[in-house]
Amino acid sequence: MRARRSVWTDEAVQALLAQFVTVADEVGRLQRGEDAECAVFKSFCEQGHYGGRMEPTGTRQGIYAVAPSGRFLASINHTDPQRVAEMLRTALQRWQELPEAERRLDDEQVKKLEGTKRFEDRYPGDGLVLAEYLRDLDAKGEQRDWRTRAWNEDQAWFTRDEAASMVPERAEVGATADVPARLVERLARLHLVDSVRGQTPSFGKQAVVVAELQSEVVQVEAQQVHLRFVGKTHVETKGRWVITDRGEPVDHERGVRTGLSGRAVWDRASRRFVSFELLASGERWGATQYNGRPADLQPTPIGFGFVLAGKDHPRVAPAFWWDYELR
Amino acid sequence: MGADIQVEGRAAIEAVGRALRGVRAYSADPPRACGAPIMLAHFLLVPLLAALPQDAPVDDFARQLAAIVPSGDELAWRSVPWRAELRTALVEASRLPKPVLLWAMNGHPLGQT
Repeated sequence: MRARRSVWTDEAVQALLAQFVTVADEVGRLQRGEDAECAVFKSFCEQGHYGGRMEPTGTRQGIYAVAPSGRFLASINHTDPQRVAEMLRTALQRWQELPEAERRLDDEQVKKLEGTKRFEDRYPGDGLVLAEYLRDLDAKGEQRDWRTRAWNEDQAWFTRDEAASMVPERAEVGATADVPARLVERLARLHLVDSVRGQTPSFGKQAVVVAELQSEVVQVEAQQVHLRFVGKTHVETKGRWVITDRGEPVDHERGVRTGLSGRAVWDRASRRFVSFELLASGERWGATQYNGRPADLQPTPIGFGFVLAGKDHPRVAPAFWWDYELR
Repeated sequence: MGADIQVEGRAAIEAVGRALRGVRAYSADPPRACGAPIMLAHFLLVPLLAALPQDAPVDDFARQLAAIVPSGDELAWRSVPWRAELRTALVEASRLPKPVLLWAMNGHPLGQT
């Protein structure tokens, strides 16, 4: 992922990108879904670099240039900025050659696209959205080794009512509240997962050993209630699964254990958090097929940071959105 | 929090980040192009700095958080104005009109990959 991201900082690539409407999206849903948005993707991805391929995988990951109508222009799946720039130039050339009538969406297509449903439609704009970042703590190894510097991210969503349930009822110093267990379990199962180096499955409900978080009022200033958070989580699971890319299933166990600490400010007038910072630090152990840990099966330190997502933060569904129970 | 406090707080977090990771915690020169400076200010620095008490050194909590939150250099790729949904990009591009450049990955590229 680090190499892929570096493509986009290349000057030549950036200059070419200015001639496109740039978008990033999750390929699994686009490949498997049945709505109008997925249909457009499926109509052009098979003309691209992985068209027709099912071995070694059926992924259609990559970089695609298309007309808004869905007409394929060019594609590539590469981390070399020069190769990507070449693809972009080819795409722009083909765009220029494409008849005007074949470039745009018609009204019916626009209507269908605007009518598609995504989990992002449930974005809790009046609730609490946290930008999450995670990385290894005290990572050993060469700085030039991507694994030493790896990090990943996600978003944690909470509805307006869920956010309010984190705040003690009485706005008095010393008042406390237990954050509802299902919200702490949401963090433990779906967010405090070891995806520092790559995707990993979430944890099932039965994997939760501990999931506790308490808030305490430490200061009240007019309408603003300053809170402190303290808690802990522990999830672990045993079973049989693949722990290396393209390996065979083995008996294995994995888990994450953290201590939680945080601080936040709740505004009583707007009933919203105006600042929120949560730190989860502890250790992870075990590996899954794509999370890059075959040589790191023993416990090592890991840290997760959650901060309030600003209004310009990308609206991307949480990684395990299908397991979310927003209320 | 005043602008001066934010500058001091940011400088403190930068120094801590450098010491912890050997890389710049936050780039003093925000990445080029439209979205990145706004994004850095809004979703990284503002919430972090708002919580720092006036005149206080960077506390241990802020230090630990700064060690995890990505630096400006690590987020430089976000200087490209990425939309987050193919459907909206197609409709927007059709109105302009412009071609669409889609970056598709297993795991959303702007989220967990």
